[in-house]
Amino acid sequence: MLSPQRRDQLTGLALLAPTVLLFAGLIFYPMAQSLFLSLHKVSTLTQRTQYVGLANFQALFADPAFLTTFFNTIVWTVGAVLLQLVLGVAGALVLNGRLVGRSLARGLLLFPYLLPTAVAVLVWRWLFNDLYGLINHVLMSVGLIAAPIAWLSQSPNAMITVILVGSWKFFPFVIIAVLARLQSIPESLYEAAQVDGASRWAQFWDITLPQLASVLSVVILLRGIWDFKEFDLIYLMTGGGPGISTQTLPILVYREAFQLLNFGRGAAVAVTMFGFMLLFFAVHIWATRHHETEGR
Amino acid sequence: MSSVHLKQLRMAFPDGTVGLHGLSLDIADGEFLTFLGPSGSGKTTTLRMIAGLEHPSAGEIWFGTRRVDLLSPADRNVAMVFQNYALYPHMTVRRNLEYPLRKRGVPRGDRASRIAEVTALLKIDGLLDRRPRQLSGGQQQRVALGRAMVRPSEVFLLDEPLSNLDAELRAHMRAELIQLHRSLGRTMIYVTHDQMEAMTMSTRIAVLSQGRLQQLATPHEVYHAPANKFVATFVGSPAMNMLVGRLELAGDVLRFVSEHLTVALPDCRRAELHGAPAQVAAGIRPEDLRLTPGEGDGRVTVVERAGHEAVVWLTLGRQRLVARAAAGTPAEAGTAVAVSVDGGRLHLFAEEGGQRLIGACPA
Repeated sequence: MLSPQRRDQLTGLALLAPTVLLFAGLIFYPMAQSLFLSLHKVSTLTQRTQYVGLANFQALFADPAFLTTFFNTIVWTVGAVLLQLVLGVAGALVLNGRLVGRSLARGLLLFPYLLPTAVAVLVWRWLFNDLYGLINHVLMSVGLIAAPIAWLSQSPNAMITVILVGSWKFFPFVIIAVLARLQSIPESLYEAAQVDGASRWAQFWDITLPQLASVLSVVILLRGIWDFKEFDLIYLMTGGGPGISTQTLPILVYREAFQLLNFGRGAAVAVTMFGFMLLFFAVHIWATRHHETEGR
Repeated sequence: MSSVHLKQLRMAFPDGTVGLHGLSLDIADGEFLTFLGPSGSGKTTTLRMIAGLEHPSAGEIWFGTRRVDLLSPADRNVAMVFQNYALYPHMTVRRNLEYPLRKRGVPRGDRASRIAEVTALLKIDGLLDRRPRQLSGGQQQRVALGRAMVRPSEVFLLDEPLSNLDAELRAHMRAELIQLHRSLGRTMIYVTHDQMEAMTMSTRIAVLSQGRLQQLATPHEVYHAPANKFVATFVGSPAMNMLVGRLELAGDVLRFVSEHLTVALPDCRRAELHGAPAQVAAGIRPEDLRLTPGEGDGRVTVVERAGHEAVVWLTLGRQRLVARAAAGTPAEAGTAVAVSVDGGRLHLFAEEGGQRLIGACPA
């Protein structure tokens, strides 16, 4: 006969077990496996692995292409997140206002987020095509440009285009998060500010933006993580090209591991990515915590 | 500082309901005027229209000789204390107090001295570096007052500022607000549904109901000469008793006669008979109802003993009445009690329409 406490403990463990098992199998094991692979040379022919210490990492950091790729990833992530923030906050402000057909507009603005990436990319590649693309056609017919622009086959145009499309695809997420917060800012704060003599612009800077700070910090964290490891949109859009001018780290992982069958180096890139994200977002979380404890 | 004039202010909401039916009144420079009324009476709407946060459908608002109803809140130069204080949560107390000064381009040195002055007056100088959520309700209240006081404004508007405080603090803040009004000498317009606040603080009270002005008078008048049945029953706690009956002359004596109570009226009230409607309502303040326990056809239902006095609820036939009695009254629930009233203390209203009948007795 078990004591009641003991029985509660066992029940608790039993309830936790499925999660623990899933976590171990689906998250911890692949992570450990990556780390393991990054320290080995793997022969896909013989399935034999050979310990090489940090050789994979050394080779990686010595490779200028890796540094370019790393830099690309930062440019893409920072550019896309910033643009999404601007579009998202602006969109949320518009949707939060008194707008005719507001619910329809809300539905339409979520559309890019719901569209499968492959479909969206197909459409955008067509729109941006330098020979028969609609965008060049329109820009030329209104006289903004004299000759077609090579949106996707020239650097730095390709990176700019990818950032534009990526931001279009993901900014609805920012809208949803910001809109929810906007609706919870008490109207009386704006009224107090009006009485205190604040212009519309001042109300935005002095009330709206500080009130959005906490949600924007979470949005930056999440969108930063997601965009940093974004693969399909960029890969389908440009394949990393022209050259490697839009190649980001996830694409490099894919190339090394699955195209060059160099699993050790692929894993080393993945582990480096993981380490960098861990570091960056630890700093981010620390900074926001710090800001929140003294800032609110 | 200035006087405030409301001219035929009207507010119709988009859904067709009318919040205010042509309100006109003049508020003197330096006055403490209170809009008193139940929720939905239009008192907050009126205040918000004076502040510029709401636009009247018709009518004009003047501050002294300046017409302001088309100006933005910033251009009207009003100060306002909000019901929920509306302190900026992400700013320290100092920044909150500084905000109206910064937005009006007051130089840094002047800002500091204004803040020092106000915080000393309100005794919040120790809280300057805290944030609103680190403050108690009473402290937040003071900061909200401070933010409104920190710059000179034409009018000082207060929207139920004490309603979020507990009872003890509320009584304390009432006294402080009276003092503040006296020392600042500013025109203050105050909105409340709490008659105690209205009675104790105001120089005059504007009683509103359903978007119409019921009475504009001093607290004393509102209590002792209510203009109609609404004011009579809304102001005073427990509420005034109302009995329906008629006026008649019995020989040479004017009497109010109702089903269970007949009251002889003093001679000076004879004038009220002329033009009096067939049906009148007699209002009796609980403190004017005299009880003689032990006899009579009244029946005590509940006695609430509050220490310094007792409130006695009773029935007289089908009529429910409430009376104030001395703390030691022998009245007990279930016992008989006789009820009488001094005829001079009776408030008479037309049963139809509720208007006060005007007698000629000296007040």
